[in-house]
Amino acid sequence: MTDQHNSRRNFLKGSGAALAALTALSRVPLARALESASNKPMPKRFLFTLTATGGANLTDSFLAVRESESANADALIVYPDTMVKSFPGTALRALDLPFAPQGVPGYRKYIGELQGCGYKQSTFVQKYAQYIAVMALENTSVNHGVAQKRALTGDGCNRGRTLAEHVSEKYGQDLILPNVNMAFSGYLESGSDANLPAYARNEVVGIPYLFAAGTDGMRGMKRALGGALDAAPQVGAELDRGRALMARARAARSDLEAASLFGQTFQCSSVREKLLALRNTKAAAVETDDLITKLMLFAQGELGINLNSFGLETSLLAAQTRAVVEPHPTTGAVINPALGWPNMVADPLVAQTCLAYLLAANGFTTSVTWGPTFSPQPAILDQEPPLAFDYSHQDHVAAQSAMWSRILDATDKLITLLQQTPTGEGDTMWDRSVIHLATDFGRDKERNAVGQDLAVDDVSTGHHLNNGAVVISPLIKGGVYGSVNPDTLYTSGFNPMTGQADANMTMRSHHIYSAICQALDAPFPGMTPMNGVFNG
Amino acid sequence: MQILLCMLTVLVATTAVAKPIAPKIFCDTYPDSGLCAGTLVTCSLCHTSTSPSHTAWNDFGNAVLGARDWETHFANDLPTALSLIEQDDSDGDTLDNISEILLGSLPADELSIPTVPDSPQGDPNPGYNVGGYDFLFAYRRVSIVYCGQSPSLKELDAIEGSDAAYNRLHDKLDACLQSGHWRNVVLDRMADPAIKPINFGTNWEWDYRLFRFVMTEGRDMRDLVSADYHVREAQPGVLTKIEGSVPNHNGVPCNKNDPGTCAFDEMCNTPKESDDGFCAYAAGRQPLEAEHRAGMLTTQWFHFFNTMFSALPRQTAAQAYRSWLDFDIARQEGLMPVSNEPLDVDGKGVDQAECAQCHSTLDPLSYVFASYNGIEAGGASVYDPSRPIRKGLWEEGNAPQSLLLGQPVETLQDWGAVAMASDPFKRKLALLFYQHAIGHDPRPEDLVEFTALWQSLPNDGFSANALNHRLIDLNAFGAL
Amino acid sequence: MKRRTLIDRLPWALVVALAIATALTLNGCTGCQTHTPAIDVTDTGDTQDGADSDTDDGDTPDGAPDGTPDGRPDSDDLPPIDVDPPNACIPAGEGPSFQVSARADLRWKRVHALKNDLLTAMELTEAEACQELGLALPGICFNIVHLVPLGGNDPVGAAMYRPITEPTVTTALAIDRVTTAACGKRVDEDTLAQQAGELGNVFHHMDLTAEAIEVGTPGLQAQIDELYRRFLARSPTDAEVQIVLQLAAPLDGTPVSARDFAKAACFTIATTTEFAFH
Repeated sequence: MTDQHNSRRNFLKGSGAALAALTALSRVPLARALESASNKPMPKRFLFTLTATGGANLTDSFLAVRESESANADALIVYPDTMVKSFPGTALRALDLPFAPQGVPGYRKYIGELQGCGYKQSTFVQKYAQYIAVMALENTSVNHGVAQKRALTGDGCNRGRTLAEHVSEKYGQDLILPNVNMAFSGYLESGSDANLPAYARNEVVGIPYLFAAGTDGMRGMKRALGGALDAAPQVGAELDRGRALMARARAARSDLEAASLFGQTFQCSSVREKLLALRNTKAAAVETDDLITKLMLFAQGELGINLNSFGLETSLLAAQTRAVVEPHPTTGAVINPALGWPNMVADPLVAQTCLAYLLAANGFTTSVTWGPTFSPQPAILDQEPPLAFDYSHQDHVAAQSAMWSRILDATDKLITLLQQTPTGEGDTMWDRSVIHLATDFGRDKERNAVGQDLAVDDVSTGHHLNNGAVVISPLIKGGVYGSVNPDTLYTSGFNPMTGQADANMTMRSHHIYSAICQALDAPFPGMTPMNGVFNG
Repeated sequence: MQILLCMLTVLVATTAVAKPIAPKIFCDTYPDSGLCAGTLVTCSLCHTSTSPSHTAWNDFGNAVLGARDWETHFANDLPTALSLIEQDDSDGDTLDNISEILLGSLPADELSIPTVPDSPQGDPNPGYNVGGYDFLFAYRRVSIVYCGQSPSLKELDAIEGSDAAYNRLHDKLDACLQSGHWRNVVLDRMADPAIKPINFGTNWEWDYRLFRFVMTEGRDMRDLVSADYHVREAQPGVLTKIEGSVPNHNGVPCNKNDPGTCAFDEMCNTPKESDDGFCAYAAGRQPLEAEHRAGMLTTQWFHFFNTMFSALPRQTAAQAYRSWLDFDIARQEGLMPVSNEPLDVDGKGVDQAECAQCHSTLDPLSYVFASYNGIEAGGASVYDPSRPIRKGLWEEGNAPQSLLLGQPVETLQDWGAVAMASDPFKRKLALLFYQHAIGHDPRPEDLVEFTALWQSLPNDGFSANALNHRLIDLNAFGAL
Repeated sequence: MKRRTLIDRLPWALVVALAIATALTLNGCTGCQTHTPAIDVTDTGDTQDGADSDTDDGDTPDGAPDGTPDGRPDSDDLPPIDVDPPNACIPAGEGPSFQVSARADLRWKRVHALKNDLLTAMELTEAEACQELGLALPGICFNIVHLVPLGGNDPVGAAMYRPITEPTVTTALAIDRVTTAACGKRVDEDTLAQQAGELGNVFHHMDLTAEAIEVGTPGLQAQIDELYRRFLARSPTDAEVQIVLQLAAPLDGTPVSARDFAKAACFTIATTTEFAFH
């Protein structure tokens, strides 16, 4: 990851300076940072889909059950009473498992001594209980890819559209990148509505911390127009000149398109027409709106990257965003100890979360989807086991604990940013946002053997259709919708119109999809009214 | 009176709920339909939703519903109802329903219509053979699509105006089919949706090698679902068969500090406390014995990733159905319900109305897969005929009948045999290359030549090379 | 490809006539023109009785009145109209005089072919051609940063098993960016070569060391020709040469350097759809 001149020692040296600069920038209040951000109007609504990839089980978090509450405590994955926290005014719970000392078995331990990032579920509930809606849900597939897709399409209830596509269609027509997807496998797939407008389709982002580099046809590129020999054009006269030369070159290109035999002969080609239109409209806007700066996550000098030598800069807002998202939730470290790199590079979830916020805060995007993959991440193995939540196949308790901590930590940081970001219209971004913690399915509820000690033995669980869904938003009424049978750990549903628990109701993906669309004021044909999860 | 009739229609119509047998009935009624050539229609032909709690129909479906009063025998009534609305234009796109059905566009979708573009007018094009097949254009496309690079000016100069243009075009294809780009890049990417690797070991390299092997050198593509061998790559780009069992190592000693003694597809495998060991396959093992193999259906990765921990490998069967017959059950494609199914042998509740629509096809597809391990002791893909009994799926001697495309199958090899003899298999193979070469699915106006393409496979020994030679002759490839 | 709708099947002028008539009627303006109570809808083509300027005053081809001056065309006052047929998707009277492709089913040249063609044309290796932010990772441009927008996919890391189907916003930018990189590298390398007294690999028809050039500077046309041959495997037309040559003209009053002209010309030619599609 370093160029040939960048030894580890040099990197750390450079990194120190970069870190100092970043820290200085991060002390600027968000509102002031926003002044230098895009002055585009904010979208009316935001959908943030953070994927709890692999199967996040609700009875290991917000619907946890105490041993004393269950007649089958020995057989089920229930927890000591002291570890299951309740809170006044809400039925939501939190599961705070203790850390164990070195060499001593513990609930949280996996792959030796690893115990997760330590972010406490109770912290999240205490901060955001009024916004957290947990709804009972029975999925329809135990296959990861299929289930992931169904979680986002409501099992095809809206013409096969994903939530992101639907929301982007409503709120994204004038946006540069209305629908951005950085997710994995089934969460990355497009929906199947052939009539979806092109602007609402996924813009796939592979490498979030380098995405900015792909948002300009020339800036930041060595040897681009206007620059000195073997150099990138510098901000100022060189870059201005380069831009002007590029504009003229693009104009000449348009002339060539009209003049060439190829251009004339194939002018009926729709895909060619599309690229030409994109060049003249959205691609031009991406450059004009300076996404390469606004989404640039690197600081000057980080990893030996001399941004300035490439004619690039970091934005205040990006620095402030990193200041919130990047620190480890318990140690506060911003440098990954395994690699010695910034967390923004070492931890994909950090970069994704930063980019998700920046895209929305700059008014470029109305819907972002991101989340962990199944790829083992050696540098952050202490926070994320291989296969994310699906590591429950090996060690359910530890996997669920580590991953819920991770997902809720990222969500907390996102909400923090959103709450502090005014829209310029009298409200904050948070007031307009819905966060959907999409997951594949639940997990098996039983221990592998009656009386199995969860603190000592690894419980292996498979995929299970019975679970719940988590939607977090000020646009929805927080609470638990449905109920959990403490003797089976199965959830059962609720009346969508009243919100009252109804054991005879089976909630499906289309209920969750409908609730999210209702919160975002994005109705669709056949939508199920979910008035029971809203205030008033 | 009219209002009463309307109400009656609605009342009667609501009893005619979605039936997963409908796709097959439709294609039996219209065997010449472009929508059915080598495939089956899906429920979305008539439905916007097939959920029992809120079944909904599109314009064509509503027309079918309203065509007659539905009696109790859906299977008998549907063909009649369809015939009654043939002259209608349900989606208002000016083409009547029967024309759309035969041509292969969707009668409920106004945007799905064979396009007859206005003919070009004017002087002859000075550089392209507009209105006909353009050999230079096709040559350039062959070079880019198959060789991964545009032809040079020198090459094009040699072709232009040449009487041997056709031969040069096909010679170019031959050369490109030998190229590293085709063999090592394109074919790998073509296999991605079927293999679905993840960053969890590299056992899937066996699957990619098998795929590339079968797709090259004119080999019989039916080996994809029938091969009893595996393939190694001892040198980069050189694929060779491994017949019989795949050994843990090839007996070549190595030292981990000097792994150069090992072949390209090997690594130096050493015990914990030693630097010395033997060269072993870097992608791991293939424990399944040859007599139970069926090509890509029985690789270790395939069962590891798709079966995982499930007792009845439904996802495994669905992935095979999707990958080799182009029927994605998750999209209600390829529904051929078996009566009295699903039996719900593992008590997952798939016999509920909402689930049975698909599981009445999927579960019978899956039974023969149950004799192969998922992630369990012994290793994924190991054949164990007692596994279904051990997993509590059924009792000894009482296995439910597995069926594929309506035909009984007793083993996974049978499954592969039925698959490879079917039209959907041929169509899928052609589709793989068509999508790569043309860049999209066949359009309604191109269905005739696409159908002829896959129907030619038996004549060409199911050779991928031969198929591609025919493909580049299509109008879809080279006509302007 | 343009899909033929009902509107498309009608002669163009008839559509115009109907549109005007409909608009007037919808506005309730059936006779409320300022100058006369009757609205004349002029026929736009020949009538069967030979008069070219029949108005909607009730004329029939047989001369007998058949309608009222209500502004709406009577059916037999709308004779066949002689217009040229469209040229594929291009309305009659527009576009070139020669036939254009009606099928026009172009394919987008995706990452591997685009990369290979750029590298071959500019005689570069992948490592030389493009780096992002100075990161010398193998494949940083084509296999990492720009892989997805240029039409590739990462099946293992992202479990992305199919590439995107059509170009997106970032596709347009990525094409420009990697071409900027490749052209820039070759121009600057050849400049260094020329400074050392050699010709350069690609830009050897012109003096890259010149700080100011103009349209008439020797070698530019030959260089344009060279670039066309390398990228598009053909010679340019005179018109195309003139278009590219204008990149040598002063910009905003400031002369263009030879290097900047070379990069601009390279970029312009290599990012045309003729290079990006097939």
